[in-house]
Amino acid sequence: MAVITFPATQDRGALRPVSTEVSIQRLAMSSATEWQRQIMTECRRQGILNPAVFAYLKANRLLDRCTLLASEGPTSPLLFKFIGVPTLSVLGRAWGRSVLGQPEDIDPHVEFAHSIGMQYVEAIGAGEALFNRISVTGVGRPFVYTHAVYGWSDRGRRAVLSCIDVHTLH
Amino acid sequence: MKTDDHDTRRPQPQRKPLDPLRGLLLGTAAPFAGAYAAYHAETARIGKMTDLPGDEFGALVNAKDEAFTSVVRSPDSLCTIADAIAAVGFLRDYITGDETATLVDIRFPPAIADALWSFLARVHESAKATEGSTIIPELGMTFTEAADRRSALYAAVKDISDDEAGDDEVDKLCEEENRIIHAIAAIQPQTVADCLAVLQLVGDKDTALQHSDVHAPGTMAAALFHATLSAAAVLSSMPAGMVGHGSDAELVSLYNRLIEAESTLNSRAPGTSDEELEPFVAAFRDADSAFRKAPARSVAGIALKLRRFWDLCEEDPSIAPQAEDVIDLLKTANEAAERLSAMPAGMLPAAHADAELLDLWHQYMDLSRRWDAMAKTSASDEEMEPLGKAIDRIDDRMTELPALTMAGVAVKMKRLMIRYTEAPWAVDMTFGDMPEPHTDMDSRDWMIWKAIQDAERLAQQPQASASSLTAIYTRWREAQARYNDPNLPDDQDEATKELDEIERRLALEPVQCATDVFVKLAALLSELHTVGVPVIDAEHKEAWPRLLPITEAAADMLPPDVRGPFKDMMAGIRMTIAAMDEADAKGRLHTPARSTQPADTFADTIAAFEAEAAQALSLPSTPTLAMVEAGAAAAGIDIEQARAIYAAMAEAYKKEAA
Repeated sequence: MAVITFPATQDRGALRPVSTEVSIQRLAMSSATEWQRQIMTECRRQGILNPAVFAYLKANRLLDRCTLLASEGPTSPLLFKFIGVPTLSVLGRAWGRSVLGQPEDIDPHVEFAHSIGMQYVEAIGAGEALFNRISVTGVGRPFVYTHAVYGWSDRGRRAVLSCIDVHTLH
Repeated sequence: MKTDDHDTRRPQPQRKPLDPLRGLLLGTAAPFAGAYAAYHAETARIGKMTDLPGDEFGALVNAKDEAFTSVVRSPDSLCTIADAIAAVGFLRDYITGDETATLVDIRFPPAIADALWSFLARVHESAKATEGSTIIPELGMTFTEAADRRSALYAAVKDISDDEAGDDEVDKLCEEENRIIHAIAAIQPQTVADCLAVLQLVGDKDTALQHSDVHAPGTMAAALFHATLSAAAVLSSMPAGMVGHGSDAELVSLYNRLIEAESTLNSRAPGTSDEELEPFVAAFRDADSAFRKAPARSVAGIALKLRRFWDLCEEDPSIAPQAEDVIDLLKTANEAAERLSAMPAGMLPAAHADAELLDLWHQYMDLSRRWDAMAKTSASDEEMEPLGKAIDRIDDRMTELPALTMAGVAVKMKRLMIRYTEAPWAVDMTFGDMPEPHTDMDSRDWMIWKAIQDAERLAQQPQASASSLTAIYTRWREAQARYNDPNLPDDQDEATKELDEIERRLALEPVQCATDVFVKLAALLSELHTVGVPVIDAEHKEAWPRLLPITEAAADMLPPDVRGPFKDMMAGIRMTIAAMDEADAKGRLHTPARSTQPADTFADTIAAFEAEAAQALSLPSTPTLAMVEAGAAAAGIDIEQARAIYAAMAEAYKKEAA
């Protein structure tokens, strides 16, 4: 298990925790929850990112559990396009409003977990699915979650769907 | 009820039996129309007899006038819409100087106009609570409102005309009146109430129709006349179940019987002995009990029950709801109300599949009772003939009309039992007037009687209330679920074929009730939704926001199992529109890219996610009614205050979020 430590680069005030620790563990898709696997199956079946994917999530009330990131071109960064309820419940709605439509570098602090996700995401090609277990300490209260991630690319544009299951909120 | 005190305690009933709306509108009896046609024919015939001696000719003319007079003079000379149209025709003939019409006694036209007015009042009375009036887009008001407005304008014109100073004002009012009438004439009435409003204009004693040429193009009179004809056409093309709530025809007929029995009893001279009164009291008690216990099936039926309750309370203010007389009334009314409110989408009560047969049976019962009543007086065969012919017509129609339900079969068998036994007791038994089977019945009579009872019992058993469209919709949802099942292999040929077949049926199946409308809409929305944003192009985008609130409100009336998916689809459409708005803002929709360019599903899908994110992260800027009501209730303030508070809060939130 890789443990990556992100030391605080700058001390901006007493409210900030001194250090944030994110641990990421790659697991087999079979250990994902049933709904995570179902979404991955649907993404595979559709192959491309099309409205049917969205309709599927919506119709099965799974949309709220997902976060979507997308880039507008080959060189532009991935932006938050949609943030699901589990993420908002951990990081707050105000945070959600502040990062929506923004790249990950907006807030170096609360963004760790997601930047981790995105580093993986940037690495995966279209049509691949992967599953990680992530534990985070130092961002608010410590928490553990898993995400199943699926990526697409279309004429240089990229998009990533992350289906997040928050396990423990300590 | 005691018989010795009701003469003194109770005033003579002022009310008349309630006319069954369907009978008034769609009945075939048309004594006035017949009499006027006969009068016309007779006038023409006599007119040719130029060589008759003067006194013989005079006698013929008198006889002809006499025959027509007797019809016109009877208080309810107009029985059906056919009569009303004939009356309008007569007035038109009279006004335009048709020589037959102008030959009549000078008192006739006002009498006929009065009769027309009273006919319309009866129709209006019977119908006003059952059907709403629709809006005339050009005027922005309903037919009923438009008719009322015209009456008000007319009254205003009359007031000002007396005062000579107001010429300009009169012109203005007349112009509006003209506009209203032409707008009404230009549009097809949709509901019974619409038609009644049109007829109200025509029946109005002050209407232009009676003073002008209805054939002069462009005039108000011509417009009115045209509107009348289209109202009559609409009424006569309405399916049986929709007009007059045919399913409560039996209750209406029981109610009429009760009122008749009651007024017969009350019309006995004071001081009549108990013995002489006995049969009338018994008849009243039977009728009363039958009406009280009969179930109500429609809103009209409930109204009838409550009307009776109201009458009883008025008669005796100390009456308690638990009293024996009224408890059945309230119970049956409540049961009906519960049943109706449990019905999905009560807006358009679906017609009984055998509505016409059931209606024929009730018509037959009425005619048969009238026949019996006439036979007791010393009516001549000639006088009885029209009734006999009417019954023959009913029999013919009953024979040719296929029964679709057990209730329809029961009607046919009851009529058969009367026909083949030719016994008065068969009439009493099938009419429900005789509680015990008659002792003269032989084994064949028993056999058919038992079969009737079987059919009626089966007819009472609850049928699957879901229309065929709702059933298809359910199957469609299931098929979709199978199609989307991730556990199935990728080879989806079977599932696709099944889905296609069901979708074809969804498209072809006719709409029969309100639920069906929403099923159709749901299917349509789902299709749009599946195909994705590009289908709803900029041109049609405008229509959706107007459609959505209506359909969403309507979704609440859907059966629970359909409601969830339907609402999801509505949410999907909302999302699509939001995405389009966004796309529009970026200028993407301005190019007519529908078929020439392939759709950019990648960007569209991301836009859909974005639109949803905006929704998920913000409160609605306009609160729903439920939100406002809950807020008002919690704070003990009125709804407007709650609305203002919410608006202020939402504004602050937006600033905070920015």
